[in-house]
Amino acid sequence: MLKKLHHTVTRPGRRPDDQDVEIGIAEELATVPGIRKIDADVDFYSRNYPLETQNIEKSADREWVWTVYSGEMYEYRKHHDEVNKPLVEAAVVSGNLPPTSDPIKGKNVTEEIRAKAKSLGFGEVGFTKYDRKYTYKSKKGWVKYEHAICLALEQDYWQTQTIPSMEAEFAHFGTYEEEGAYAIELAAFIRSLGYQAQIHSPNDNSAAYIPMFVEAGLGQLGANGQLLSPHFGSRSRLMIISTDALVTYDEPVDYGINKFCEICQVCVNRCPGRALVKEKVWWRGAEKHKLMYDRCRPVMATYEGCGVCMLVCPVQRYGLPEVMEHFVNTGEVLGKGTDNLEGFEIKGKGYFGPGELPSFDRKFFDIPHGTKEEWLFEQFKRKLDENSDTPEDTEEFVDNLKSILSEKSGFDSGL
Amino acid sequence: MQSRNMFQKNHIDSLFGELNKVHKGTPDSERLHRDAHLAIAYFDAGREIPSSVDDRVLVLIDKYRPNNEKYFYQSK
Repeated sequence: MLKKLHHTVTRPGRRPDDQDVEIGIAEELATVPGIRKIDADVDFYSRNYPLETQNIEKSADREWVWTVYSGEMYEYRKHHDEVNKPLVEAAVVSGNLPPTSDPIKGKNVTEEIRAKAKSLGFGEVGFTKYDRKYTYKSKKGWVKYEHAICLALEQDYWQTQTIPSMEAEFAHFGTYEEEGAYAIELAAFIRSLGYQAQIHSPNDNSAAYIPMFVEAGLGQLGANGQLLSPHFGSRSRLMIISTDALVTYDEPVDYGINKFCEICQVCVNRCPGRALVKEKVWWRGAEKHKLMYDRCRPVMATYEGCGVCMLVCPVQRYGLPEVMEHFVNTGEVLGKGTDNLEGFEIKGKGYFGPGELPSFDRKFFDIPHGTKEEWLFEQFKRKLDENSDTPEDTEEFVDNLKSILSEKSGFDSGL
Repeated sequence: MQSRNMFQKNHIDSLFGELNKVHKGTPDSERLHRDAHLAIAYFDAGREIPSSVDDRVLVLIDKYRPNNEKYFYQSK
């Protein structure tokens, strides 16, 4: 063994019948359980600059993506939205449904709920406070209950390794569809125990979910901006059910990921859009790798969901126990520098092995920004600046603005 | 690590091509894919392939490994 161990984390196996796994964390990778944060700063930003869902804040580019989808992607997304819409609608009203029995007074139901969630197929299940500091502005009046059950559903392994591809998109969106259905069943189970349950859809998120998953000990934040959980890294889809049931909270864990990602950097180096950054920054009170949205989105929309940052993560590919064991024994990142981990193919662009990246011209990254109304106004302003506006333009602007403002919801079950 | 001949794209494509041809859609498919990626990673790193890796994957590693590069595996 090359590295000295700092601590060992014991976690349940990947599937319900699997044995527990032990993950040895090297001394040089140890930081803090969860994430480094300054609570006063998190509070300040939450109060003064509350988060907002991308469904609203980024509605201009969410509409734009439909214009650059391939034909197959366009049709599949339409199909997915039709399948998914009832699940999202069921989630919206789920918090109003009454319990279907009386609770057993004083009985803690944490493990019953966990076992049920696992039996449905959720690979990671954790309990923590539903932290309203991360709730989106538009959802603040909707959230009802104080405890969060954090649920991660693993997506298919083989399909995910074909990223970026339609096959991988079937896994991505298909997992959302399965997850939405499982959540309805789990919420019904919680009501049968005598408690309320509110489903926070993975496609109509009520909050930034990852901080709560980290707090519940289900993983740590990776350099790719995704939750890295021990068995499947970021190869999962996250959702929450909040409840008033009597439960016990889990604790955050130090899996060594905060430091490991600083050493690994494979996702940062391989990102086709150069959207990931090497150095961490303090963002809204947390120390994290912050991705550049405008560099990510065009690649993601144009090339079948991209997801190269998920593909090339060694924790996703090999699992955290194996990755940490390799680091402890060799001081190296398993798979780093190999075609097996780092190679990817982009349709129309070709294959890119370690050290090779596709190039895009500047115009490729010029996409609509902000909300739909902000983008509409931006375009109208450009016309005014250029003195190329006509009375018809003004009329069209007003009509388009009315149409946007009359839209009921910002929901789309997209990327 | 770089001094070894590692699995290149053509080796990887050939290995997974055969794995998919024979096992795609079977109950073992997912496990074999996981094992194959892990076995290649250990091979590329010059480490012993663990005994938990399925024998069918070891056969493929042996068949498609680069330039008859030596490798080691734990006996079952």
